[in-house]
Amino acid sequence: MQKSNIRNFCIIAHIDHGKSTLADRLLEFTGTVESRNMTKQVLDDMDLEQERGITIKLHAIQMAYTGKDGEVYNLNLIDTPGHVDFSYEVSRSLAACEGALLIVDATQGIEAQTISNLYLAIDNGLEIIPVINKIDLPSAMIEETKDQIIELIGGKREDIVCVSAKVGTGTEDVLEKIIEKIPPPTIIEDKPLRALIFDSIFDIYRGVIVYLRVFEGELKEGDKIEFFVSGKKFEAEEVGVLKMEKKRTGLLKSGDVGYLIANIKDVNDSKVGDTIVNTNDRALEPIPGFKLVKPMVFSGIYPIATNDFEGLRDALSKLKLNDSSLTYEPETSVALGFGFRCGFLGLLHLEIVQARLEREYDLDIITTVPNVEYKVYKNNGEVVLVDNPSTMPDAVHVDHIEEPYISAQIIVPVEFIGNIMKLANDRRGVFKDQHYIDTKRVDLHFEFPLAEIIFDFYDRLKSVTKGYASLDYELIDYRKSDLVKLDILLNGEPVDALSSIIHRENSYYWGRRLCEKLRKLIPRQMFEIAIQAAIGAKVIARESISALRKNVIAKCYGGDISRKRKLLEKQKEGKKRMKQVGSVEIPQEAFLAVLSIDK
Amino acid sequence: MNLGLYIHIPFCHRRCTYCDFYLTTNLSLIDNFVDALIQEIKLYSLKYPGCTVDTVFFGGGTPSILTTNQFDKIIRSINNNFKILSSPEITIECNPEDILGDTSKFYDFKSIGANRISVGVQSFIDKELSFLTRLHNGSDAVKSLEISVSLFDNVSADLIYSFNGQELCDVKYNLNKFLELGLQHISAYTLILEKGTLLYKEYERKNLLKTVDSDNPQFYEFVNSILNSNGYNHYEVSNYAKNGFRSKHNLKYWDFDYYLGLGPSAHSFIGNNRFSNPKSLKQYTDKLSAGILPVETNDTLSATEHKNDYFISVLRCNGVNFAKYKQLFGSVFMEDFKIVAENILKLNLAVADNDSLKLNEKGFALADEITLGFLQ
Repeated sequence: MQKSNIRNFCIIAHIDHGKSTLADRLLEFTGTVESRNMTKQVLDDMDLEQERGITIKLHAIQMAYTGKDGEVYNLNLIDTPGHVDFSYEVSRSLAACEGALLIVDATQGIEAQTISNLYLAIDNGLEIIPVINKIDLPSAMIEETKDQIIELIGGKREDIVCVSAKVGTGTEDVLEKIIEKIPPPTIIEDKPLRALIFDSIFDIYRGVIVYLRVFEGELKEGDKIEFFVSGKKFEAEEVGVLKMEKKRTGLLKSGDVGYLIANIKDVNDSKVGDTIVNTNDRALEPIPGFKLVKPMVFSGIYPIATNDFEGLRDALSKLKLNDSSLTYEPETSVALGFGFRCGFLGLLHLEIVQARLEREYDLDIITTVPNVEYKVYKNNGEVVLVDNPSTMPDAVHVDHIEEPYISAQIIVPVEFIGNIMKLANDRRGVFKDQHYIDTKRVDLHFEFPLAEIIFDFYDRLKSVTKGYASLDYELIDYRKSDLVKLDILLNGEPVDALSSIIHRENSYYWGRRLCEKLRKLIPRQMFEIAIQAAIGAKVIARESISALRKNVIAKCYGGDISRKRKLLEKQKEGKKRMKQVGSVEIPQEAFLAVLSIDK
Repeated sequence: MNLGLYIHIPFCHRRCTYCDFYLTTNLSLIDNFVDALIQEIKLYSLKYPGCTVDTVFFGGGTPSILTTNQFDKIIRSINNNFKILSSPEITIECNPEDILGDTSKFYDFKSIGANRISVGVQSFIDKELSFLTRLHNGSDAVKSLEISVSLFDNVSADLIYSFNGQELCDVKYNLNKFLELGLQHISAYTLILEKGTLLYKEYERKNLLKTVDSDNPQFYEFVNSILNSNGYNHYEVSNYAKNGFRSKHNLKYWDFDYYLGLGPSAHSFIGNNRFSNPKSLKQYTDKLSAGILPVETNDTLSATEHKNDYFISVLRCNGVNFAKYKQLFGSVFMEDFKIVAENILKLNLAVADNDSLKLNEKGFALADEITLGFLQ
């Protein structure tokens, strides 16, 4: 065993606390990218990421830094997404590191959103370097923030680095701390190859590019390799490290972070968390921690214009190249025509796919109400999996239905325990146990039906705890529940895309609220519209939208028809974005109305 | 080719706060304007030799600001340069204060050829008139209409209604006055708040924009029922006429016929071209004194725009004439728009016979909504 000049680290931060800005400063200071070539926040290169202030896809980059001791260090920064939908990916990124920068905004103090990732990092044995950002702002509370950090993770005041990523102060201190505090990787060269895949992307020219960390042995071009879990075999065509561009080195050794190109056609063959081994000198055990990521949330995606169906298929297949957790299968809806039933890790994942289809592929789409996958036990002994409410077998054939349950960990300041208990109760949660992390924070365990937390649970959780709660969850099992299928009818016609499966106890309230919501979202039309919620043949709620009686401009602008035409053409564009179901025009938002219903 | 002539007289004593038409209050420019207008008439007669004119409409602005002499020059010039068909409709928009201010001038309008008068009454209620910043009061409105009706056989008046604070009984009062005076034609407009007008800004400042509900059907339906039951035929979204007194000139717009607009800011539609003059008296007179037509915008309509414009125009009034549709677009209307047409017929918003499909009273109230269904 020997020590090296490599440091592998990641950054943990709350949204807007300055992760990307600090990353930019590190890249600049180390000359990895010249400041005049900097576009703001190099690391988040998807538009969507920059806009939402969250990192969705993982990235990694290597910086060369000459320390004050005169030594040249290779610093590998591995980026992590910051949302519960992607917690598994985060855990694999963390597993590739020896240390983490914990960034805290000096004007905000510690916010709990980062805590679950912080604990994940501590669980992975990472060395934590606290960094207080935005110290240049007048409202910065540096000393208070230091107190909070010490209370949370211990350590010494002088080990906390103070920076202003915006103006660049303290950047060198951060780099020095990384060298000083974060342990170099343990170098094990005399064992067979074991490398961890922490991400992969699809490149249309090169195929899959695998991002990896070599733990043991070495990986060189020409090696016959094998992915432990998927069992797929390849030959390493090109290996190298990740600078601003890929830099081919031909060899990656124990402790290195880099990339691999091996004529891999499908990202599903290189699953995050899988272990790369050498076929001719095969390691016997994989790196622990691999999980098969399965979609948990399902939703129908339909083109508004029926002739966009092939375009949508094409776009989904392209997104899938880079997103192995996305699934899609063609389906048909009476209301919406031809579309796809898609599977997602969670609601954020769904929103990202939806936004990318709209922006990058310029598709007008309708996303139906998301749901989980149910196990339906029929009277004849048959068990069917149902991921679309409209395919739920008729109630008379159903013996019972099981739904997925999750185990949830919620970390929250003690003063919010009451609010959490109430929220959990509203969402059919079962309290399991709790333990106090310190005098101010408690770790609560619940079991929830997954269906209850995929809608707006995370937002509700944040709002009842002033943003202080953090949530992590995993699927545990399927359990029998008293579930019913709720249908929505417009002028007597069922709109299959608005059907949902819900707990019987909630169905009346839900049906009523859904009808009210639809009444507000569907614009008045030239005839009266009846909105009904029904369970089977029984109508449980009704609303109506009275007919529009007037829509005309009194005057026609003294022969200036062009002006009127432009006005009407704009209105017409708005109508085109609606879906005609029967005679009723339904705006896109209506298909997601359920999401914004408070329980 | 036959044309309707619209002549924009861009002068007013002052600007009303709801008005967004192009005008100036600098009346010293009128003589220059008249010279330029006569030049414009000459240039167009050279451009469209042999074309005939059967309607002339002096709009504004306030055409009644002009002197007899100025009108005389303009009408003479039209007569000299265009072939006027027999019994043309010649309309002058007048404001009550001009009619009362110089009644002898008003008599002269008739002698120089005007045969239709459109009076900018807007209301008979003083507080409404001052809200609309008009220069006349209620009794001026009555007197000016009495004079008009005594002198002309074809008198129209404008009404503005449905504004903040107005009640149905106010509208009723105004309508009753019209009925008592025995007008041949009434244009009744719900107030439109145009962006950029003083009134719009006032509503915006007082946070009242949301309270203006021009889509509130109550007032509209009320006006329709009163005028219908008193012998006024509701022939266009906002226009009502006794038998034989529809505005021939305005029908050019609504029947998709050609019209030539003269004067600053005026719009024209000829062939599949729409063109317009600048909203600037200076640019207008400068161009014409240099012997150039002052056209500022000139759009050749695409096939889609052409068809869209057709529906935007005709659905407000006489509806789709199947023969004219076929002649214009080369296809059969009821085949092209079967579903949309059947739908509005089923909803009882339109009526159809062998020759045409037109909106009924309920349909007029939804004309824009219905038109959307026909746009490409």
